[in-house]
Amino acid sequence: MTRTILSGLLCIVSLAITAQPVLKVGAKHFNEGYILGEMVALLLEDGGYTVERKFSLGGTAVCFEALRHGAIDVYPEYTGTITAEILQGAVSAEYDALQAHLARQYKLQISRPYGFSNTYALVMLKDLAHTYGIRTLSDLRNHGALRMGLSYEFLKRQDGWHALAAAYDLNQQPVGLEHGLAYQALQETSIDITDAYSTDGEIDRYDLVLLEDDRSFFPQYEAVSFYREGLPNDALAQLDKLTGVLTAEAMQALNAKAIFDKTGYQQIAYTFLVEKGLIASKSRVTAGGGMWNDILRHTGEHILLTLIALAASVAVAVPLGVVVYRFATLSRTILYITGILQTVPSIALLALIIPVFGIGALPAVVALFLYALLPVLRNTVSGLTTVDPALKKVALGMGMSRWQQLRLVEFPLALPALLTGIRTAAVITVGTATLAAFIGAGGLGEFIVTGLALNDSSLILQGAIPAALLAVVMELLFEWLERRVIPAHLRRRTL
Amino acid sequence: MPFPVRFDHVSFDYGQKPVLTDITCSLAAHSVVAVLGRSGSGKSTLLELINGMVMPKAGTVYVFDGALDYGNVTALRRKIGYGVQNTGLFPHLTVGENIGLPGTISGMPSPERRRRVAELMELVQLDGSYADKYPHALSGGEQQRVSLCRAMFSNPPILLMDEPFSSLDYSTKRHIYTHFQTLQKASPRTVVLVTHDWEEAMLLADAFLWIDDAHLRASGDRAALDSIKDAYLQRI
Repeated sequence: MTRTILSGLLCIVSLAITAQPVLKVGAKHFNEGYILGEMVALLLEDGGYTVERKFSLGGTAVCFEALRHGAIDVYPEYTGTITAEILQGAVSAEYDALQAHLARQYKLQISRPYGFSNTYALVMLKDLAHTYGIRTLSDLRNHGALRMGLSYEFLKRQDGWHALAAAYDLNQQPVGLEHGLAYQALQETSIDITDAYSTDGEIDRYDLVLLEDDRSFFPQYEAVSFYREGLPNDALAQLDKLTGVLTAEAMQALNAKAIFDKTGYQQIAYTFLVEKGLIASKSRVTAGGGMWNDILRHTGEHILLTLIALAASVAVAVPLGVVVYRFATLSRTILYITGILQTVPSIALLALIIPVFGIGALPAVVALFLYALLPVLRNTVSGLTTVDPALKKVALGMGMSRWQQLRLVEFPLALPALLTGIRTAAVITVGTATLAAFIGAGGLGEFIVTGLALNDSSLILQGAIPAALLAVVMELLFEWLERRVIPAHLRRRTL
Repeated sequence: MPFPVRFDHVSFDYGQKPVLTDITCSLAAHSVVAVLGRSGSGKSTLLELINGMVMPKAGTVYVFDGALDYGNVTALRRKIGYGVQNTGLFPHLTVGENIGLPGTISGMPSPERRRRVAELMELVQLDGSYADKYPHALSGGEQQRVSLCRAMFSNPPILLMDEPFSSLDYSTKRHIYTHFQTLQKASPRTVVLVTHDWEEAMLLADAFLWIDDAHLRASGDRAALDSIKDAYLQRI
């Protein structure tokens, strides 16, 4: 007995001695982002570091804010994205100038380039391009009727569609769609042109053609490691191993493996690094725990996120509702503010929360909490205000104190409306919590985000079906609760 | 305390619109006083002046021993029974809980409360099993009896009732009147009964006040009530 305890202690002590600081690696939520993120993570693990993976981060803004505030230590980024999107064109994409500016302005660093440039490009089916005689972006000027389906990020970027259209004098009217769905749309000819990354694995396999950027509009997008100052030297040495090892063709092949052969990111990154002799082949590749295990784990995270956020919003919104009800002058202001919160798009709210709360479960809970506030608050207030005035008068005339009026009469009579509000909030929260994956909080959104990046509908369904079931379970749970606490004749008829 | 409620030159208005003008009167202990008048005449306001739900714009209201203290109306209200039109029963509470509510709010222990509920229900001939039902399951007349029980629960020296019987049909009314009279005989109190119904007043009241266009037009005993019948019915 003593020996087991002793050896256990020894084990912990030896772990503590050998343990390097934990490094947090981020990745953007698309194919290449995952593969490169995984390469960075594996290299650091090979160097003896414990790595926390914060993948599936929702876009440049989220990654950059996370890096700046130390929520992650490093993530793969592109020089062109840094100059255009983060620095808003304040600095040229020239490597040295960029590095100096980042160090001075943000105390951030970039590694030397991995070797390929993943620039934006417009692509279309080879046959279609041939039919219309389109080879370059300039050629598009004569084909205004072509249907463009562009990713939301490209539509919004500084160096995206609007700048491109101005530079080339294009007049097509693009619609927005998720990048993961664009290739399918091209195949089904529901769109003619989409934006792509020049290393996308689909380009070759789908028989697509890249339209030549004949006016050199797109800046260079050299892939680099973007990291915080002060990383240990041997960690930097590990990162440096990626310098110059990845050509555009190699990257296309790796991306294609992920999309078409359904090879896991970690396996792809691992195989590549071992083949290049950059990590020892004994390095562990964590085998996934199997689909059901993953579903169970993510469902657990999802439920936890939902319940914590919901409980917090009930704890705040119900008392707040009572205050609002009691002080009519306040009610407009408070309802107005919570109403505004509700209209902020969820992904935008998540991005706004990062500077304050970083990334992970906490900011996700905060965002979900803010979303759940309004339905609970509004139903509390409306439940209280719609209590029969004659009954309020009786309560008053009987000699009830304010607190007694609330506790014995107004609150119980508002309860059906209140429960309806909580129920609405619960269902909204279950749905919105799928977006938590964008800021590294896990949950069922992980499947959906990864599935979208991979264009893997079975993966999307692994997230979507449990999420839908959870919403149904929530409904049933509240129905049961209503039956328990509200007498039949006072129950609301709900659909 | 021969006159537990007194009005001394009391006036009330909603801005431009006078509701009660210069009312002076005294309500005798242990008597049922009917406050008559057509709807909108200000008679409900007169009732609400007594338990401090409305503050006079001029004049003074005396309840029990002194001028009404508006800083401490809650304690006063617990000594005054209050019943309103359409019973005013709380739909989320059972019959027993409704009747015992005045006890609940003043912190009466629950065994004692239950005893008092049973006692009152027996007095108005409500079956004991009704205590666990919700009010909506009862007939109009039964609900009205529950309402009466609740108003009487704390055995208040003053009982205020605002058109308590007006929504009942004739035969139910007759039935309730009997219960009301039984309760009043068992423990006499000052009852202020707001009603527009002359016959009801004639049947139940010992004295009356007639409020007409914000003024106290007439008052007196049953004989006087009989004498104003024609004039009153014409105004209604």
